Amino acid sequence: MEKNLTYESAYNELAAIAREIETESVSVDVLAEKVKRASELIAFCQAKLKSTEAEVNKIIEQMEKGGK
Amino acid sequence: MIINTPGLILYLIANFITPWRPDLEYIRLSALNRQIQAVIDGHFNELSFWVVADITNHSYKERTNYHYFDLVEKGNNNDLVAKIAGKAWGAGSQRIKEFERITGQAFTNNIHVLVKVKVNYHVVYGLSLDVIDIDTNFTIGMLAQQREATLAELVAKNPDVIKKVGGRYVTRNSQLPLPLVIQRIAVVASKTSAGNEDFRHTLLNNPYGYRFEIDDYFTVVQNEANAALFVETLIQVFRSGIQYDVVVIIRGGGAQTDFLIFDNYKIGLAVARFPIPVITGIGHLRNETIADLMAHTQTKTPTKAAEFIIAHNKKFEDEISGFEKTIIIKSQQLFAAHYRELTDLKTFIINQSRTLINEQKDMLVNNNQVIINKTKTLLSHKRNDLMFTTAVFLSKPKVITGNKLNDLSNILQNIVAFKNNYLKNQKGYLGHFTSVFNLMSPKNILKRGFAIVKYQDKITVDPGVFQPGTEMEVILSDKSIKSVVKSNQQHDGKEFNI
Repeated sequence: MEKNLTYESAYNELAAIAREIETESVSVDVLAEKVKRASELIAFCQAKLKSTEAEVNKIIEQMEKGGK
Repeated sequence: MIINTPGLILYLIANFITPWRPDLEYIRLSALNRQIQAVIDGHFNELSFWVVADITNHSYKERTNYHYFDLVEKGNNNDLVAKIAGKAWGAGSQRIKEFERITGQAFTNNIHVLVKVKVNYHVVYGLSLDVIDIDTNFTIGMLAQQREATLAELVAKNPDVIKKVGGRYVTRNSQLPLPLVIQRIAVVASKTSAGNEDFRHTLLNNPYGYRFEIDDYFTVVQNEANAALFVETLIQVFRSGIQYDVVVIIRGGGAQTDFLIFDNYKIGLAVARFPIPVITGIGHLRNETIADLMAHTQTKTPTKAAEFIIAHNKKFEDEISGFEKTIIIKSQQLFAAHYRELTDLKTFIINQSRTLINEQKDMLVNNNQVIINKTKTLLSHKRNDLMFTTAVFLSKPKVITGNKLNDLSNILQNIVAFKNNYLKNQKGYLGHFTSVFNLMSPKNILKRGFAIVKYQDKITVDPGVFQPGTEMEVILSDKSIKSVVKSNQQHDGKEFNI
């Protein structure tokens, strides 16, 4: 996966692929490639979400500790 | 037990001192008092009067529901003109309660009232007026008049500081924003005020652990005459140079004295102008003083003022923790939403890809089918074409030869038909030519007298060759005659002139 990929750009690309596939504007020649790319993007997004969530939970925990 | 002093002396004389002049006639005090009572009762009987007076020396016994006070009348110079003891009980006390409820004015010292009284004399307690009714409208009107006059003056004279908007007074002070958190507080109060203690105690023992810095500015908050001192104290707060969050004006506890100082023009103006928000806790449950109206926030008691400040700070804390909660909840929702979106997309992409592939497969199968079917059809068409062509090839030559044979036989018939005529014609032509040839033949020409002349065995038409002495052969009819030329001369005959 390329460097500097953001969640947003990954998500947008993912949505674009989904749209392409939905409208069947994707050619069979590149379908496998696209789906492979989509699976990579999904994995990337999920990983990014998970790490962000973990980080946020940690911060919230500290916030709650600090508030008490 | 209340006994006036002259009464006490008479009582002592009557009971404990042995009479030293037994010859002197005397009566007991009680007998005299009963006479007084008889006269007063006889005169006033059931009469009652509406009286305008001021109240002083007021006290109230809650257990018995008795009010004790003096009714006084003051002259133009504030000197005492008349005074009498008064009390109220039973129905009278009930009326006073209603009066307090309706006017918001406590029945207490230094109020100007219109009361309905009955004259009462008691042999022990002496002369007094029983208040049996009190006119609420009179007091309301008076208080209101006074207050309204002061308020009107404040608004009229200070339009840049005090405005009346709707029923409310908007002052420079009331327009000041309260700091988000109130911590530095200047308290203007009487040194002896129990209200001051209430305020401090409530504030410092707040359940949330908020800390406060409280500076006391003591003054005298009773009696209207101290208004100037009060204003001076406010100025001290301002000059301290300390950035106070609020100034709290407190009064409370101690005697239920008047509140007139807080209806004072100068104090009202000072509060309205003050550059730090003013909170009042004047300990006056029913009335709003002018100071209350001019202040940023008014509360009823010092405790309530403290509670207001705590609540204000609590609001800030609640807001902060509200933000915290919102952040937590929203971030969790956000994560959930994103996870869901991703999952949806994933499912979507998988399904759509499968659908796409299946469609392509179907299309392939269809194409395959089409190709197979079409190829068969095509082949059979070609085969038919070929068979047709073959058939054509097989049948056409016979037809052609047949036709040609027909043509030939037609031509033959024609030849047969036209042959005789032709021959006849040709014979005719031949006969004609034969007769022409016969006419033209040298034999016939010779018969008609013409001869052929030969020179040296060759026919000649040139007479010049025949010079005299040359041999000349002449063929005439069927004879050849050889001769020698004798002469050759120009002929001038007419024999050939046909």
